[in-house]
Amino acid sequence: MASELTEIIRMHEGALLRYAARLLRDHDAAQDAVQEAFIRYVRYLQKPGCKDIELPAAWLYRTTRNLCLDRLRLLKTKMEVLVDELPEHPELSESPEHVMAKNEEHEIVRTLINKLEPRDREVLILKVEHGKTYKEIAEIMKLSVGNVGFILHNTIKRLQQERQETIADGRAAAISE
Amino acid sequence: MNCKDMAMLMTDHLARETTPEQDVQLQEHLVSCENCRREFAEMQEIWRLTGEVLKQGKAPDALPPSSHAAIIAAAQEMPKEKKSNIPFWAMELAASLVLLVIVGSLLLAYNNKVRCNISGVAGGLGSEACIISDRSQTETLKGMKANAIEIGNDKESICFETPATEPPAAPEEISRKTSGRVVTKARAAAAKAVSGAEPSDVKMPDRLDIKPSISAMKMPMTQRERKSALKKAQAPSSSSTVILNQAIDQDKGSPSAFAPGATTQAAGFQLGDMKKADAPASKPVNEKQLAETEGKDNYGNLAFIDGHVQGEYAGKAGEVISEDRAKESRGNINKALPQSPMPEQHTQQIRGAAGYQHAALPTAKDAAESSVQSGLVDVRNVATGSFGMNTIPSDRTAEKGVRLEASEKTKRSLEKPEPKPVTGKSEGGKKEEDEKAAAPAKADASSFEYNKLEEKPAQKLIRLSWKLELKLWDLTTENDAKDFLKKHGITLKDGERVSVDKNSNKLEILGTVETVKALDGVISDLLKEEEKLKDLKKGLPFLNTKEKPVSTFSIDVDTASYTATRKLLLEGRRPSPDMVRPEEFINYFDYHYRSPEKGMFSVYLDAAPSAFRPQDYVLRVGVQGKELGPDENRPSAFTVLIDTSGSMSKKERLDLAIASIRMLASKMKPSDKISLLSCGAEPKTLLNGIPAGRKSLLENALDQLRAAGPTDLEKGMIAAYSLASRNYIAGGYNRVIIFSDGIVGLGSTSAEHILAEVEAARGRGITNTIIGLGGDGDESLMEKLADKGDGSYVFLDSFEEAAQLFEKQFAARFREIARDVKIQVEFNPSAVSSYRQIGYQNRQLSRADFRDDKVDAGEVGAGQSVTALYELRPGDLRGKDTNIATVRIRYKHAATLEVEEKEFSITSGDIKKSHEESGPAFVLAMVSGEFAEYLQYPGVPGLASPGAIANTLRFPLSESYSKDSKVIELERLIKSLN
Repeated sequence: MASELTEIIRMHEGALLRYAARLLRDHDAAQDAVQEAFIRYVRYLQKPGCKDIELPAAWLYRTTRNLCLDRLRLLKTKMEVLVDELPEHPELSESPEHVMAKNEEHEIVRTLINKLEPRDREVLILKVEHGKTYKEIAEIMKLSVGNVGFILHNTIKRLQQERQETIADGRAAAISE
Repeated sequence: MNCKDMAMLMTDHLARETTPEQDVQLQEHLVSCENCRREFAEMQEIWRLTGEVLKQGKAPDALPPSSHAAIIAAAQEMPKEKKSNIPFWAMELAASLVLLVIVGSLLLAYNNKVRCNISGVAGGLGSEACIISDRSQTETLKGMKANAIEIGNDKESICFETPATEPPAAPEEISRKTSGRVVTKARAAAAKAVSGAEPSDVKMPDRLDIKPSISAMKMPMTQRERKSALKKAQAPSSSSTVILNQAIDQDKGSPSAFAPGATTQAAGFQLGDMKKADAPASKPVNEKQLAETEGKDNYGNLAFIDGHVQGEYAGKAGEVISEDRAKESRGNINKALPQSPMPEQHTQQIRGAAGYQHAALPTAKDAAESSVQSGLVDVRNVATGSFGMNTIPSDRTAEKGVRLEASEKTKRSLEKPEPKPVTGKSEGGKKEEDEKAAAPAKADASSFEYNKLEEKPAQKLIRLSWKLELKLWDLTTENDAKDFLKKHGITLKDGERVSVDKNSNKLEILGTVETVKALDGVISDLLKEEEKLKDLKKGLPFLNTKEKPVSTFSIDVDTASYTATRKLLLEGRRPSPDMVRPEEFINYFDYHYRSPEKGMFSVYLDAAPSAFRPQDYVLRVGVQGKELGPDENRPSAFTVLIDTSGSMSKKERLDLAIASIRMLASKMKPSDKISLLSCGAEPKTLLNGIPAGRKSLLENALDQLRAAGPTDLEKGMIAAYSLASRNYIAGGYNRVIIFSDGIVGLGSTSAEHILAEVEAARGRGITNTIIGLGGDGDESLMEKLADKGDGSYVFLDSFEEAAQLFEKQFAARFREIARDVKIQVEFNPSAVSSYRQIGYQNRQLSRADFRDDKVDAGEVGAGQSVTALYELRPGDLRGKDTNIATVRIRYKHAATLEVEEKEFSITSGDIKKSHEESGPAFVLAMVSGEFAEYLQYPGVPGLASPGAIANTLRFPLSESYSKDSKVIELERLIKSLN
């Protein structure tokens, strides 16, 4: 049990911390939420007659998400998953690629992503950043599988169109100058 | 589908949520619709950018140790309703056993008449917890300091359990509370050993503070853990144990007999992480292992061990040669220090005196001294990671012993000449040690210092040698031996050496247990072969028809053995007998059998006197598969895995593979599916079931192939098979084609894993073709892969060979017509007294296997022919109609898996008067078989000389084979043997 649990923790802690940090924008709070999610996970399994968790990853994501939402509700903050860079973490220095990556193109995309509806943005993050399957995303966000695909498609299309527009606007602005 | 649906499909594709069919649909649409192509490119771009943006920003990638501890604690809380089914009495029994062991060990320590404070032990261990650590435990511990202590040597372990009454607390909190005091018999014994008969000379510390951060020890255990801990405690540990000789700073005030100006004491520690150490398979190794010491990162997870046990065992330890890894360890210590999560107030240092010890110590006594001495090394030396290294009695550590006023015995042992250190590193280590020894030791009364030492298993080196025919195996130089090791997936690490002694025919290795074991496995195969050859010295192996009238075998259409042998011979080398498979030599040549007019196969039987042993006859069984008409071409789905390891850049290997893939694609129908994966450290899908006609996609993918870095073929093959499954065409030719220059470095477990995978895929109708390039790889594994996968193994050494395979033999190689093709030859015992089959040694089946359709056998491609030869000792051949043999062929239709069996026979009237009369093709088959056997059975009497073989080949060369380049080349190869 302990080794299985260690394995599960190891497998998911990094991704969950990232996810929670995106939701809460606070590393310490993220850590608390993830820890609590794991504790709930083990408690759940200890319950007599508990059902097996079909998708442990999705279960953990959903629990983490709920914990984050609770916390945000408590702080009376609107649920926002922003893809601004994650807040600075004292223990983690900036990697060179991180610094390099702050180019203009990324700034455009970042702005566009931040303009998305929170729900759409979250689907996008779970898919692109966390590589979750539609089924898992559906499980985490309590959506239907078809809905996830549809949201993702619309989000991608929208980003694509808006990026073209932004680039075109940029060009137009450059020309007019 | 319209473009709108396709757009949706594009998203799904990017999200990897499409089925292979959808992918093909999408690809087909993209080929035809320019708008969608543009849109798809844009979507791919935004997807990529989104990924990049989301990658930015960092979050910690792991929870802090305190969180881990809290989670584990939660898991270990007793559930309200017990899931465990351990009865209470069993737990009681276990608990009392544990108690008994504790008390026993304490009594034992007490019996050693050493002044040590036993009450401290009881207080420390009784109330705190020690559980046996296994890997997972220790891993868990990493974050939370320690919840495990192991006591004992590697023969037995003692388990102490924590009462589950205390609630879990944060590690720091517990740290402060904990002050377990432990003195074990280890130090007592160590002291005893040092001071000879008078243990009282040695001032043993009254108590030792166990590193207070043994926090999680208090965590209540779950039932299952309890059970497993107990199991581990009771069962003699089979895994190895690393013993750490640690010197511990002791009470400032306590006088020391050893280190002037320093209050230093010695004690042996045993650290708990058992799995990290080499797992020695045998008992002797275990004993040797005991003679080693090693420093370890264990977050204060420590236990004590009998110092003198080491000494005793060290004496028994055979040729264990120690190696100094001081530098590495030092680096690791430095790295580890800032990370070590010790509370401030306990900035104590344990100093790990880690040294590998005892090579061939002459006596147990010396060994004992030596081992104890290493414990005596001034603690400060050790803290820097300069590891003591005891090779032979008078080594550095022994020297140190003098400085530390060792006993008379120790001094005596020092006077012996000092052997050379095993490695250069040890010199450096020594220097450092000396410098450090000069500094006065500062020890804290109630604490000891600890350092994190590297978690590397002791690199104990063992020397082992084998006597074998080096020349036979082409192992006459050290480089040959190294190549040989590499070929079998054994890479020599630092300090490991292999040497050959031509005169005494000895191959010797100095290496870790792991390496030596691996090599031993390989060599024992060679020795078996040698044994067989020895048997053959009595003559060629004929089977009596009265005892065994039936010969059954699986068809083998491979030719790799011939091409690989050719490569070696052209380089002026000889193949080792085990890589020669005569049937692959025979099947390399064309015998121009006529295609069957109807049915799947035609079978040709002919016999003639042997050209090499005139008293014997040769029976040839020729099987010719039907050609496929254009309308019979079923669709194909080929999945190509290409090894892109660094070695593939050698000598056009990758270029050869790329050229081959181009040829392959050009031979496929445009609508056939082709997938391409590159296999480096991670497999990468470059094409996922695209139509083979899409040349630009293919070229684009081939452009991306670069040979560099390491490769993980196991992962690659698994990915390739899963891709093949996804692109599966029911009723089509589904095949995985693997290009590799050598499947090396696969352990036996991975090999089995892959073979199982391949076999399972075969069951689903996916066959394979293994294409060897370069020839440094593990031949037998490649052959096995092909065998298990109902495929074929071919070896390409030139573009011509590739053209031959992909252009001329495409249908034969890639369009299988029949599977599990088995042949059974039943001899008439009165006409044939004995027989032997030439080659097919790996393809033998039992008589019953023939009609057991579950038994796997070889596949045959369209238009492919297979030839098998038997050598017969005649019985009574009078009369024209005497049946000589009945030949049956049984196979499954590749498309329908319908089983069919046919029977043919040959009578005495069919036997030709001379081998010439039987025709050039027959003679060619005989020659290629004899040539192979000459290489397979070196020195076996009765086989023809290369000169005689070449002479016989003149006949086919003067006839229909005069322009056959393969046969012309064969003549050259045979002549090169002279």
